[in-house]
Amino acid sequence: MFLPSKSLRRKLDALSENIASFVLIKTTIHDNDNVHRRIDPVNHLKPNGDISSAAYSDPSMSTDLERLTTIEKTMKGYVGFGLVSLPVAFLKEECSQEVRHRPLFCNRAHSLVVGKKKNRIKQLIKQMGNRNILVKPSPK
Amino acid sequence: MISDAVIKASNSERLRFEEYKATTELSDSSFPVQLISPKDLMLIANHIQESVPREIQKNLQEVGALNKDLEGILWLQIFGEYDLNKAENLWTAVAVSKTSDTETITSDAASSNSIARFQHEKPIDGPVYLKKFDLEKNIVRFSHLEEGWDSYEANKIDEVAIQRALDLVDSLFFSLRKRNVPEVSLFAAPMASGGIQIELDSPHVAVEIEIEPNETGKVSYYAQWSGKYIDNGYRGGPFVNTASIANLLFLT
Repeated sequence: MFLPSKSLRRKLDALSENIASFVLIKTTIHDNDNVHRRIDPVNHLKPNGDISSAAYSDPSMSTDLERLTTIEKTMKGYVGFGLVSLPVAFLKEECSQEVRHRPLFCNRAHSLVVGKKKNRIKQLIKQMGNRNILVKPSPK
Repeated sequence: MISDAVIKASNSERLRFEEYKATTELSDSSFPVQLISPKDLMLIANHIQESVPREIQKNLQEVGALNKDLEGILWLQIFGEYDLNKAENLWTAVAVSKTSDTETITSDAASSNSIARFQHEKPIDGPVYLKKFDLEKNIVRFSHLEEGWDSYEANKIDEVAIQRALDLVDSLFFSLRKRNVPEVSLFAAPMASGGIQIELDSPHVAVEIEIEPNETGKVSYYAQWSGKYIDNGYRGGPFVNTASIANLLFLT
C-alpha cells in the first residue's frame, strides 16, 4: 500500500484546503455559533486535571464549526482527547479573534480561530474552555 | 567495547563528580537512575555524538545513547579523571539500555580503577529534585514530538526552545530554593508554534512563562492572582529574571 510521506501529506492537505475553498461552499459564521477544539491529553492536561492554556496558543487555531459536525465526528480516531466548545461571539469580542470557515474535503466543519494569542488572551480562552468541556481529556 | 568510549565532557560549574571505588555490587535496584537528569544525559549524548570514533558510536547506538533516544537508557555511568580547573576532561562512558545485559556492564565498570558519579554540585532535597527531574524529563520528551502532535497542525518543538527551557528550569529552581518558595507545582507544555510554556502554580498565584521557538528565543511571562494580572510581553528578549518570577509567587 502506498503511504505518502509526512511532507507530501502536508502538501496534499494544503492543496486540498485550497481546492476545497473553491469547490466547497463556505458558510458564514454567526456570532451565536460555537466552535469545538480537541485537547491533547498527553501534552496539555495538567496532573491536577486542568487544561493548560498552551492548548490555545496557535495563532491560526483549528476548530470545527459545531453546527456542521457532531462530537462523534470530531472525536473519531482521537481516543483520550478532550473536546471543548468556544462561543464565536466570545472569541471575536473579548479575545479580538477572527473565526473563519475553512472547509477541508475530509472535514467540512473545519474552521480557524485567527489572531495573536497573547498571554492574557490564552487565559481568557482557557477559562471559557474549562467552562464548556464536552469531553473530558483522559491520559492513556 | 562500550567501555572504551571516550567523551569530552565540558567543564560545568553546575556539576561535580564524586569518585568511588568500583567494588560496589551493582544490581538492578541499585542503578542510580535518578542521579542523572535528562538535561545532563542530553549533554552527554551530544558530546558522544561529536567526539566518539565511529566504531564506538555504533556500539553506543546499539544501547540507545545516540539519536537522543533517552527513553531507551536505563542507566548511564561516566568514569575517568575530573579536574575543575581544566576546560575539558576525558571520560569513559558506559550506557545501559533496557535491553542490554547488565552483568557485562557490571564487569566493565569493575575493570576500571574508579567510577565517577554524576551529581549536582548542590544536591537538592529529594522531592524537589524529583520535581525538577520530572519537569526536565518532560521537556526533553518534546524533542520526540512529530509535526501535528496536537491532532492539528502543530509544529515540531524547536531544539533551541528545548535548550532554553532546560536552562530556565535550572535557573528557576535555583531561585525558588533561594526564596524558599514553599508550595509550587510545575508543568511544561509544548506549544503549536514549536515553543514551550512552563507553568508554576502556587496556592494563590499562577505564572506562565512562554519561550518562543526560534533563534531569538524570546521569553515572556504572565502572572495572575486574586483577579489581578501582570503581562510582561517579550520585553526582556531571550532573558528572564527568575528571581522576579519566584517573587511573584508571594503576591497576595
